[in-house]
Amino acid sequence: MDENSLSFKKHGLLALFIIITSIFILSWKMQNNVISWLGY
Amino acid sequence: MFLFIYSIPIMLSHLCSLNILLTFRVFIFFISFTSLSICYTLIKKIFSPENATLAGLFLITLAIIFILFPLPNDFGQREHLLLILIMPYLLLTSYRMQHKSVSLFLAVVIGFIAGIGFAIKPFFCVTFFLVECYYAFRKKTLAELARPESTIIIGLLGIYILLIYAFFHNYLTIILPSTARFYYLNYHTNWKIVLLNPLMFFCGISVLCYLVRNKKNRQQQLGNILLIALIGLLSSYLLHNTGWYYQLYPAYAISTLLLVITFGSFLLQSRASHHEYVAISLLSLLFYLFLFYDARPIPAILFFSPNVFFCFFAILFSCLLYLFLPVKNFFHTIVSVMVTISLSMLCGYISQHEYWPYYYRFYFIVSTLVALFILFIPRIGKLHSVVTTLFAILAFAFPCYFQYVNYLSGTDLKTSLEKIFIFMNSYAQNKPVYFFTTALEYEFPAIHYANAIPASKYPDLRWLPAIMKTHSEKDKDDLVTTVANELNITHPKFVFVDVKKNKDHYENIKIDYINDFSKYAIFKEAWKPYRYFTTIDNLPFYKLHVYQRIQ
Repeated sequence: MDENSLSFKKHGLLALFIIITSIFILSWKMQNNVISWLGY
Repeated sequence: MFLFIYSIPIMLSHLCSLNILLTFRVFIFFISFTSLSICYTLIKKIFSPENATLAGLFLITLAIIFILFPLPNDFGQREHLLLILIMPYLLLTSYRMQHKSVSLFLAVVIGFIAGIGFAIKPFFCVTFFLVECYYAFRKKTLAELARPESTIIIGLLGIYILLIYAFFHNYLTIILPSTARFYYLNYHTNWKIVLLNPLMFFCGISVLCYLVRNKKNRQQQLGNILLIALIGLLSSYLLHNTGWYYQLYPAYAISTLLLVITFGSFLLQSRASHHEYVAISLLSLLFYLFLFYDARPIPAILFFSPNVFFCFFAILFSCLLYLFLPVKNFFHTIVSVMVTISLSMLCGYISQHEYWPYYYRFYFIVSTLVALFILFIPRIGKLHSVVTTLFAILAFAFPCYFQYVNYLSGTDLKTSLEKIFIFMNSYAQNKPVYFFTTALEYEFPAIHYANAIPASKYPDLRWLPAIMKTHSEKDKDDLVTTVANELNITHPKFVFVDVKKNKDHYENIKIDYINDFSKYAIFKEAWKPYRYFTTIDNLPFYKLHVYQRIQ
């Protein structure tokens, strides 16, 4: 492990995880709205 | 190559008996997530600990450009796959510029997936070539080119070409020459449309921002690699010469990343000179002029829709506040976010009143800004926060607006196809169907909707306009013969014939499919079992005559 490499703090990592998961969910929902006629 | 990639979700859908669209979406999400995970590993190595906030911002932007930017119509397009697959390679190259090394396994994995990405289209290799040239130039030695990832990429490209030559000879002797002759003949557009694409302006201004702030930017080596990749991706777009969004998407995405680096570096600067404030203000003005040029009236940009408008500002202000505070205090951030959202909801509620003028929303922005500055960020310079906030609003309004408009185009398409869906649902479920059309956008949604079976090996008749433009009778004869044979063999239950006056891609050429094809004896014979059934129309989008097979 590089000494200068970055390590996110625990709450920072949690925030990143929540934000990125929300982006994935938003993308999925937006696709559902566009192709809702396919039965999703 | 893209056919091999797309065959994976198709095989999975057959194996697991899942809907093909569901499998495809899960597949793209999976490779996005995998690429993002590798990027996360590299970002942790590339960014120094004092740039942790910028690293987080960069990672979130990556997630947004991977899975929100291509929505709704270009999700999983070849350029989308390209960006997902090559991003770890770009980050790794940037990391190596810092004279550091990674494990052989990681380098091989990154090289392998980037090689797949570059092999999707020959145009994409320009980016690989430019990045490698830049790397060799900065390292001042050609020996540095022999890195595990670059060796794997070159090896994979070589093996791919050899495999095509050995096993798919027809691809080189039949498909490639035909594609070169006809495919782009339909889609080539004039240079004015290609160059005046709004996204080109956005890319240009983002690059200008990056270059103006180059010496002050953090993570310069990463920025420079992205800039070189951007030049390669723009070249690829120009070589296509079609002006389509998805072909410009990778360049647009990379320029957004450059913009985030520029913006983040400026925001996290403890103090800036007056010259820098003037420069950022002028760049903000440039963004404003671009918005004014691209989407008039201005309310259409900043006030596009109450919900999107307030979401945009609520998220933007929340991010700004979190980034501004020297000590990251979640309590302050949460309180401020709640205040911002409450204000947004209140104004959103009031804005539903039909007499509430658009410019009232402007008061909302000003009042929220004032609240933000006065209540929550007393410890940082007011000028710095004002200039940064203005820059953020003007720079990021366009991507938000653009994605929203793209999303609306998808929902509008769904609405416009309602009549076809009703027909398909009533008559064509699980039956073979054939389309005489050059408009793919309503054919395949309709086919998937009814689980109908596409009876042709072609997605549509898009080769025909190009054949007619070149007056190639032999090619037209071959195409009509193929269509007739397919009618004889697959016996489609319904044939949908595009009878719209101005059909897509024909420009000034008039064509009546049935009358025109009936001049060929083989088609006339094949067409005998078909009788007119009904007409489905929703002009100006489509008008289709439906013919039913009676034997």
